[in-house]
Amino acid sequence: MIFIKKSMLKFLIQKIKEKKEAEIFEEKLSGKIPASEEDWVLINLAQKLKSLKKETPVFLPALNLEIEEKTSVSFLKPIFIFSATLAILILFLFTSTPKFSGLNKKAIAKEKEMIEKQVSFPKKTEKKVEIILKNL
Amino acid sequence: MLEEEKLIEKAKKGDFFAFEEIYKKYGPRVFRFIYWKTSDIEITKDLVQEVFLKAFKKIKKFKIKKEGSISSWLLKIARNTVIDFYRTSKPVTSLESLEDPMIQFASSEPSPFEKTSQNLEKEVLEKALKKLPEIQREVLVLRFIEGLSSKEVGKILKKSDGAIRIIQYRALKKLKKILEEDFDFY
Repeated sequence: MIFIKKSMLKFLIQKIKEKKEAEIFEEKLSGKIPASEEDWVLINLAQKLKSLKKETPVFLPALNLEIEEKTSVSFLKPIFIFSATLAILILFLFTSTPKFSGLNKKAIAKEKEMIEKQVSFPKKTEKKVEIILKNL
Repeated sequence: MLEEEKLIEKAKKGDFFAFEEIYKKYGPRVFRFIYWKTSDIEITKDLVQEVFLKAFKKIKKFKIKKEGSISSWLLKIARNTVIDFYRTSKPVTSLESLEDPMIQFASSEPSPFEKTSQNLEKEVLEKALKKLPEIQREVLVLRFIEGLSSKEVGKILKKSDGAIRIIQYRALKKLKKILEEDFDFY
């Protein structure tokens, strides 16, 4: 079962009623159904609107198809700025991150080697340290 | 093949004179439609140019079965052009006019509509029409001033003809209310 709120139902009924009224008015407007006095005011208003066609000024300019569209320029400008910024950002990311930059690979390898040298002890000293630690 | 369809086919092939014929035939309708949205003749002239320039570039893709008629297609382009115009342009107000309302009054020349109109009733109607919400005014202009069917108006405004009838009915009732309350008309 579908449950509808009372306010929603009221709104729907109003919408259906308005749709029906609009359909009937359309028929009255075309003269298929006789109109009431109240409708005549609206029909009269529609007729008056028709007469505005002659009153609206029309100054048609000469057709010129060689003008460049203003909108296309204003539309392309932000796209160009955005893509340029994006390109610079990507370039910066690639050069500054060691993972991506090939130039830094050698330097990293050298640094690793240096650290390993500093940390590692000869095997004999390692054993001695182990014995001392056990005796403690 | 109808005369109009022949004209469209020629224009599709890049025939400037055929396109000029279309411009002469539907230009006034596009002009009136834009004028009722902008109320400014110079802006309307520029926008009409833009509309037909866009139409000339896009006419190869025009399909009568999809669009209904060339008139509806041109009005749809006109509507989008006006929307784009108001989206991109910033309102310009001079400082002088802000300081003294009388300067603003003196500088705003009456529109040709106001100049030529001898009938007060029509002037009032024009002002009342401008007070309507955008969509309601669009429907009334297209339905009654331009004489299009609700189906054609629906195609331009991307709504069903049933929806157009409801908007039209609502708009007429609101117009009557504005005329009664603001202009003491009825």
